[in-house]
Amino acid sequence: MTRHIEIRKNSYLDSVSLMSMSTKANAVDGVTLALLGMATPMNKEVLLNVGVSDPAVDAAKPSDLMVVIDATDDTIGAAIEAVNDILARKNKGSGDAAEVRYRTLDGAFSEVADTNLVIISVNGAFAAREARKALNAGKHVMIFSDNVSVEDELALKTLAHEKGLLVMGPDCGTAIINGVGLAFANAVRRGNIGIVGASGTGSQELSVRIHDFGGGVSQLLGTGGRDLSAEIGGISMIDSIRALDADPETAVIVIVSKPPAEEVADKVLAVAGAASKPVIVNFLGSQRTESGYANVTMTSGTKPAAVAAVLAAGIDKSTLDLHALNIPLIEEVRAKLVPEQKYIRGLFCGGTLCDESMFAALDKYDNVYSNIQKDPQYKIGATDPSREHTFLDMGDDDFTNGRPHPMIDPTMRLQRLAQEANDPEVGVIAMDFIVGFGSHDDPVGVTIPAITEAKAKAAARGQHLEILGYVLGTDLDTPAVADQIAMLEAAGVTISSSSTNLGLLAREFVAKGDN
Amino acid sequence: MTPVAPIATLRAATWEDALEETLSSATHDGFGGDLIVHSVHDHVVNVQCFGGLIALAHDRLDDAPWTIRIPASGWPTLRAQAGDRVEVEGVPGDGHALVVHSVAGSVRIMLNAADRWTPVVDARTPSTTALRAARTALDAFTSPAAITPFGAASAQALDAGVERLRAAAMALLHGAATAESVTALIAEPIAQPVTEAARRLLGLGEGLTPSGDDILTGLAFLAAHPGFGLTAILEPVTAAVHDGDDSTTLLSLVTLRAALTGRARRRLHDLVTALIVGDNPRIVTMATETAAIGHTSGCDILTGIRLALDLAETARTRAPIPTATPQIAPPQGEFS
Amino acid sequence: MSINDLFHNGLKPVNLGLDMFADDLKAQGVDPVLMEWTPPGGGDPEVIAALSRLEDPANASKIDAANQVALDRILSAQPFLEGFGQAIDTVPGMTAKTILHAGPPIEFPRMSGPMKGAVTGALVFEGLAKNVDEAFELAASGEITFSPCHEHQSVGSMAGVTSASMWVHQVTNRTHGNTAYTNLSEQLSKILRFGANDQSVIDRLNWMRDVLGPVLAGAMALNTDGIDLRLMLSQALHMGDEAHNRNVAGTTLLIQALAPYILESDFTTKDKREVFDFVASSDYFSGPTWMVAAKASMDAANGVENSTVVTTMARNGVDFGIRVSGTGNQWFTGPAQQVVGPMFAGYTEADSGLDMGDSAITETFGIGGFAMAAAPAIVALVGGTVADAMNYSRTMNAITTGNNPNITIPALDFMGVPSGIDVRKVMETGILPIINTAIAHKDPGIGMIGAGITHPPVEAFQQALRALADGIAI
Repeated sequence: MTRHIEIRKNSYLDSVSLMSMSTKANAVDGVTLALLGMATPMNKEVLLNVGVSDPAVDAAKPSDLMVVIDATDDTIGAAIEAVNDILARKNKGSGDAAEVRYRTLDGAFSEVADTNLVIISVNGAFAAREARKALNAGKHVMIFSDNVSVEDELALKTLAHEKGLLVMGPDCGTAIINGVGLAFANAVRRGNIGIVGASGTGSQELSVRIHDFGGGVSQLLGTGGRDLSAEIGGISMIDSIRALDADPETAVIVIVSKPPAEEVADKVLAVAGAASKPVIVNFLGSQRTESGYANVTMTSGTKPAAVAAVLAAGIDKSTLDLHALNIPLIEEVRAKLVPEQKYIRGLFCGGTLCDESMFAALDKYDNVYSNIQKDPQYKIGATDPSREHTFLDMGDDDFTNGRPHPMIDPTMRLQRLAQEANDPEVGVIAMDFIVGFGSHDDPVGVTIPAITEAKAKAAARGQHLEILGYVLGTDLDTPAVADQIAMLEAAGVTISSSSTNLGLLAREFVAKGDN
Repeated sequence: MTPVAPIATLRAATWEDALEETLSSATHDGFGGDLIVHSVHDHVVNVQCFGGLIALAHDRLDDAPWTIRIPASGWPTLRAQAGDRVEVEGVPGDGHALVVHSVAGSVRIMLNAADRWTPVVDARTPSTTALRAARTALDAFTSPAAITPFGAASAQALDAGVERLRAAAMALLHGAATAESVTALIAEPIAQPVTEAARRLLGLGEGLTPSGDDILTGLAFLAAHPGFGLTAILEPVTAAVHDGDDSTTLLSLVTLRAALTGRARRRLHDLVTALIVGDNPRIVTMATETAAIGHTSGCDILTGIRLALDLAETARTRAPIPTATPQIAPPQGEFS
Repeated sequence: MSINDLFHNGLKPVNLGLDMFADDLKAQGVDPVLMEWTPPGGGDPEVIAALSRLEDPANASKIDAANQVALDRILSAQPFLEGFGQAIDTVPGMTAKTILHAGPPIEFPRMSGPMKGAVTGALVFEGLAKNVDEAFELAASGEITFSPCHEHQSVGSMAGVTSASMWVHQVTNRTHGNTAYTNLSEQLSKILRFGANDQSVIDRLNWMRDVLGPVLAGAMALNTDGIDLRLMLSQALHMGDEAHNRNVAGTTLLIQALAPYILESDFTTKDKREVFDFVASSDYFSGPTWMVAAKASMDAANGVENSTVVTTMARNGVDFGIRVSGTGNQWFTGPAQQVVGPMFAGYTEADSGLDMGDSAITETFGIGGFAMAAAPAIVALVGGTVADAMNYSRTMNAITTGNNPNITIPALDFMGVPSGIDVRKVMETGILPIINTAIAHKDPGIGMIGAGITHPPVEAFQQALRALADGIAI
């Protein structure tokens, strides 16, 4: 056995790194013991107590990191090297010296010849200009940034159209190009269904449902939420439909959006009708059921859209697990709720998911309030208390107000959950959990304590509080959906199998006898 | 020595009030020392200033003492490295800006008056029921068992240290209830054991802020809230921290000094308010967030808060004074 | 490229913004191009609007063409040393009561300490005042005309103070026919251009007027071919000069070219000997010669419509001014900056005056700080490392229009020096031109106390960009 003692001067590793390095160091082959700690007098005593004494340790200062490695004689050399390697990797920090970074897009384009897409997530005030440079250099663009003016958006999209280039965004959060997820996206199978989405989480939901039904995605293109407005006229949507129509790897096209401006809807449907492939359209909350074109099918929700798409893509209907509404479950939950528990509270990260659940409730109830309600009578703000049925899109600007999106930082939603649980008239709290690229590492894990507390609070007043959860993601995502679902179930949360079902279940749970 | 001008300008999302005074003195004539980037982490850049630290933090982190939060959009611009020079600029109209001079370019961070965060000490007094309920709610957040050998080696000393501090503080609190002024107590032997016990925790344990420091932070922060009736232990703990320069890391000292004056991460302020008003769900929410600080730091802070709640509750209910400080047993056996 | 090409080629994204997106791309096996992006124009919305206007493809092509014309003029200029004369006889607009100074226009009360020292010293030297005190009164009286060297086809090192009876270089750009002027090096010690003005300074100026100037003029009168300064400058860079602060090789080459004619002239051996001793007393002797060669080249590039190429960078110790080809003689100014570098023993940063002098004409032309890679030994004077010196030259490629094939840097594989600073590129990249320069004491009468590195104020470039955007001929 050989002992190696090393003092690393002025070493400021954060606690999480220190812990992870300590764990890794102890796992190195041949290491029997690795101790890492800051060289404070008390910690030196700790070392002394486990038999480590050395003049180097005595001389070390609190700002120094003590590294003690015990290893077998023949492995000590390799072990020291391995531990140093672990430390060195961390020490480089985020400013890895080997990384090449370019100051300007023109510089990047001239140095790296084959770039073809620029993902822009700088402050919106600067985004349009960078996008214009990319387009002028013949590159496609995805603009994640918001706060880009309508004028700039129109100019960029017109320029892109003239050049045959794609502009996704501004405010485009989701895309999958050639199987690669960009920004917020899920790991889904590649296949023959092309998606064009004017809404981020709507596109994510579609891609996940398609994957779940055994289908696959050829391309997922985003347009940004304003593309189908009268001002922009659906330029990106139309160019995307045409590109997917011309793409030999795409057999079916799916479109998802909030209801477009009427004249834009006509225009988009005409382009879809002229396509050579089946087109499935889901304008969430739109009353339109007929497209007027033989190859264009209107659908009422993301799940019906996904079903129509996979069937059109040639998947055998008998193989689909459609997850029809679980009527016994509905009966069971209704029985647990007392008469005064009449209301749904929906706390959402995903805008489209909030939309879809809210529209399901609106089909049955009038008293539905939301921060994204168009009707001012039913519109409530981020700081207003919930009323009757309330659906909150907590990723909307009035909630985030400069804070990170709830898909990244769940703090706001945890607080709101605690509030809603205080209301004895609440029967169901519906929540979405979004995993995948860009999202929080463990959205369920951070929410569980608050869920437990919410249920306990209701129980204390003799009520059952139904918490209904939906996890958006696939078995290929990190963390895997199954693991997240297992944690929710363990906490007594009822699981919905899709965004569409989430809205329907919540609506039915609180329905009373005469409804 | 860089041809890159200080032209990237960011506006801080928020910044803590107390920085105002620190930065004003930095711009006065005759101020000699430069500010220097002390250490760089993924979401925090610490800047050394007057023997303390100013933190530049990604705005995904909450407000905290001596902390300037940088908007996420601007964070990539700040590519500081340890040793980079940081300049304080006065801005007309009494404002300030920090300019970080890095190899990759200089970044000016504007501190606008509108964006300041002022931590407020909630001076209300919690009911005894609220104290008990809070103590129970926090029981769910005990520190996880140590997973590294060093953590295990220091665990026993930590437990013993906490018990010693508990006993010393309890004795002091019962004395303090009768003493006329807290200052007078400092001279008395009754305060000295608290200082001693605090010293035994300083710099003990794992992490950049060793666990013992985190526990003291939790205790000190609650004690700085007068409603809990623990102000008597502030002075002896302050005394331990005051001469603790050689006892622990700079980051720990800075955090402790702030906690002793009732300043901490925003989530801790929210937690204490929830404790005072007895809003249990909120206690759970904020404790969950507190537990998320660092690796074990958050849980250790909660341990300190639990200790403080115990002290507050038993002090009110006049529990018997322990007759003697418990002996700290030397660790047993060979470590493997 | 069409949208369908994107589907059928490998995805090669550039990630401009949040690093978390780049991390996710890496996790999926895609290697994104990373950016080190800062908001252009310092984030000033007006500047960005101006930049966008200039970037409009129609405007950009017009500007690019204009900049090419300006660059061609810089690169094709052939500055020849033709002779020496007294300012009153040669410099356009010179009068007995005119004092030329470095940098953009400035009135006497606002001048920096060193410049005031130089002005008053010059007034004593010219016999317009009996002593420095009287000179202060005269300078403030309004009787003296102050004007920038740059507005008289001239440049002046440090304070740049040039008065009627001082001797100046006459350098003609034989390609374009324009002539430029600059006075003679006082060498390095306590000297007028650094603000010193005691009797020793005046005595030296008198000797320069009575002996040095006439000897040099006499020598060049015998040299009817003139001296090809561009060729000599190119040689000097290959010998390790950057021709702003390091002039060891250039001075040797210049005196070698002058020596035969000095010997041939009718002056006494004592006078000639004094001239040689004077030249040998400091390597800086040829410093002004390279400045005026650069000036003769840059003046040819001025006034090209729509060009965004910088033709002047000059400092008066208070303001830093630039002029741009497309906006002609208009000055754009901002505060002169601190120069950061090693100080002579006994001085600290608190003693240093702000950046001063017309010598930044060398950087404007592409030598000096821009050519530091040619002169690794300079780092001993201005601080930094050899790697820094190499980097400075490479970095300047990002803000210039082209490289000068006639003046090259061996260590960078004979890369031509970066030439033709483009205001657009400076604003776009946030990289400011690098200048290496001497540091004068902030008080009059003391002199040089160190040397180091500095850069122009961003404000000057912001103003210039706005003016260019306003003036772009559509």
